[in-house]
Amino acid sequence: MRWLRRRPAGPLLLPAMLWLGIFFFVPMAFMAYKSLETVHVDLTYAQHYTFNWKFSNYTDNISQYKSQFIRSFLYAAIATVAAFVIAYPLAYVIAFRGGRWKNLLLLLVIAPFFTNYLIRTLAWQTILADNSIVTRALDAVRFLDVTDKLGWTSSHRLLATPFAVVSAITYNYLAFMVLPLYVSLEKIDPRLLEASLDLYANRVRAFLKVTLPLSLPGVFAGTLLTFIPATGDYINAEILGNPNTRMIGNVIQSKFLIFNDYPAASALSFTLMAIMLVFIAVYAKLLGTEEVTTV
Amino acid sequence: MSNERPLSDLDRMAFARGALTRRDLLRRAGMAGGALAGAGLLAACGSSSGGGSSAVASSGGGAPSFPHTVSSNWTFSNWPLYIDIKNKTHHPSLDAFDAKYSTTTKYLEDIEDNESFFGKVRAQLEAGQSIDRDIVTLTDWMAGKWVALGYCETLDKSLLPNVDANLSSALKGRSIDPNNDHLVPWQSGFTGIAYNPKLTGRDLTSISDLWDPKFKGKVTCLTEMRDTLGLVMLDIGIDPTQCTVADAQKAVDAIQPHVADGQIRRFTGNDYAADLAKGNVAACMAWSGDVVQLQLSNPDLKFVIPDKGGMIWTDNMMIPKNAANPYNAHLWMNFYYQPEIAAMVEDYVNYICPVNGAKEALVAKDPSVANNPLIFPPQSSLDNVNVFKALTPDEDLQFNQLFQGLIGG
Repeated sequence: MRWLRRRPAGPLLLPAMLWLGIFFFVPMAFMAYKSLETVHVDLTYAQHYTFNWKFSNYTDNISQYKSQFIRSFLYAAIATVAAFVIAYPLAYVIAFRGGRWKNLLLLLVIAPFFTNYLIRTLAWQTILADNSIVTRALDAVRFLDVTDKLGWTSSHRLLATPFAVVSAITYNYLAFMVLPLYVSLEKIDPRLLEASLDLYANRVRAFLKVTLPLSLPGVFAGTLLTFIPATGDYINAEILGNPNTRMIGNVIQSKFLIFNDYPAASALSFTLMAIMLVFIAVYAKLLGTEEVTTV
Repeated sequence: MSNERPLSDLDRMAFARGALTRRDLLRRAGMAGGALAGAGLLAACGSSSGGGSSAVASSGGGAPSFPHTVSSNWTFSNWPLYIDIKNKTHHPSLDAFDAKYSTTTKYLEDIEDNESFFGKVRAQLEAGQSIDRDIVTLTDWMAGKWVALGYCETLDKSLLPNVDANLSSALKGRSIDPNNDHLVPWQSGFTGIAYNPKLTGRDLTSISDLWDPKFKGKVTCLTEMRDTLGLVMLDIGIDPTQCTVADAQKAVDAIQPHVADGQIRRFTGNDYAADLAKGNVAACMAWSGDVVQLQLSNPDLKFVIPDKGGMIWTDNMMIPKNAANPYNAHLWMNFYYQPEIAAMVEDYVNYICPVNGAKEALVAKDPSVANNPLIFPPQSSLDNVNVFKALTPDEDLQFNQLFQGLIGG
């Protein structure tokens, strides 16, 4: 048993290391290699790849697909903020007012996940169709006039607009926001709130000084869990968007599967990952990793 | 059918289809020496081109050998809405086949787009693995690519007497597969304009009509590059049967403003059908057979071949390399080429049937289909449609790059 005390981590980490090694690090290394290759198509349509440190795969593709990159981060950011605005009150209510309904409410939050992601998104095609009740109702209350002016929708329709894409991303990742928020809120000792009220804090002040700071780890986790997959998402833009709402995920998907241009697809994937890493580093710094790790 | 159909004209089109000289030359070179095609096969297996001298099965040669025994199940991949259907789940033609040969057909509707389907199975084909399908159905240019790459099995013609007897002569001797060694046509179809007169408020006759500002955001084009570029080329006076990269650029430039200002709602595969039926789309580029089917529940919908010309294409059944049940696949191909079975499929599918005698088999049963000009087209329609030029690999890449840039990367 001495070896266990001396090196307890090794054997415990082994499954995860094997798993990530085979399914993450090796493919990553392979992708890094691919991203520096050149494609040739020969006279029989066969594609050949030669490794020649082709760094222009990065520069060319970044400049060509700049707008899709920017759009992806913009859509993901809006969807993350929207998800946060919807999820925080929801998580708050479940955590503090849920009572005996807590488990049922949580079940309802994850219930949509029992349906396939693609099916859920396809259902939105019907919900947002040009003649659907939703569209006609929003048009009747002049909502679409406003969104048309803002450029979120156009021609008084919802489907195939940026609004549809961002809303669906918000919806599809909402649970990833709600659950971490709920966990961090649930852990807050209600006596802390009572104490703050005893000390003459009003409810708003108590929330800002006690609840919100203590829930920051949930905010941090929830926003990352939403923002990261949302940036790389392509299903929503594919199914609910138009040619001007295509995101970087759509480009990578078509480069991989339609073009078979693996070098360009790999370069774009790496670029996306690099930007994301920088973003997370900055974000962690801003939100304060200490608070995140101490609670 | 051969009495009714203007075969001389279809023959002329077949000849036009035969305009792909470069690939032809290569294939013949392959047949003669095996060197070039051998290199292609090696490349297909993932190694670099080495000028191998191995014999190449894909270039003809002797009949392939496989056991002539019926497997208990086999898999047929096709496009959505592309076979007869009853009670939403039953395909009578397949049921008849299953009953006759005591087998179970796994029918997949998983081909929505030639490129993305190829993308999905390409790695397995390259690695010489089975793609777990015994028949796949791909459009001319993609089928030709598979033939050239050696990704499909050579057919055993002794098992296909009905194909030999009943294949429309227009579809024989196509340059993508001159001796019909690999491909068995499933259906042909027109690409033109579909519209909902209730939403457009008028009849449409040309691609330019799609750019009417009144239809802003209610127009879709196709993700099939050859269909969308072909129709637009015809509209701006370019011949898609012999276009250049510069011509493709012109067509892309003609479409670009309509993408930028939101005139074009989406680029679609078969899914434009749902948009058209739901009223999301007023007018779109469409495939003739889809529209015939949509008309059953939306009789107002119309399909026209643009006055400046439409496109025609054929989808072909083929047996992917290393398929597990080639015998069943052959049996099905031969079974389908009986006029009465083809008529069963045709009665539902409504694209252009490649099986001689199907019209006659259908006239008594369903005269409305047998006399539908979109299914058994008149001379004037056939005069006004074109087959997209066979692109060289280099052109293929450049055309696709231009087109992908247009539809958003």
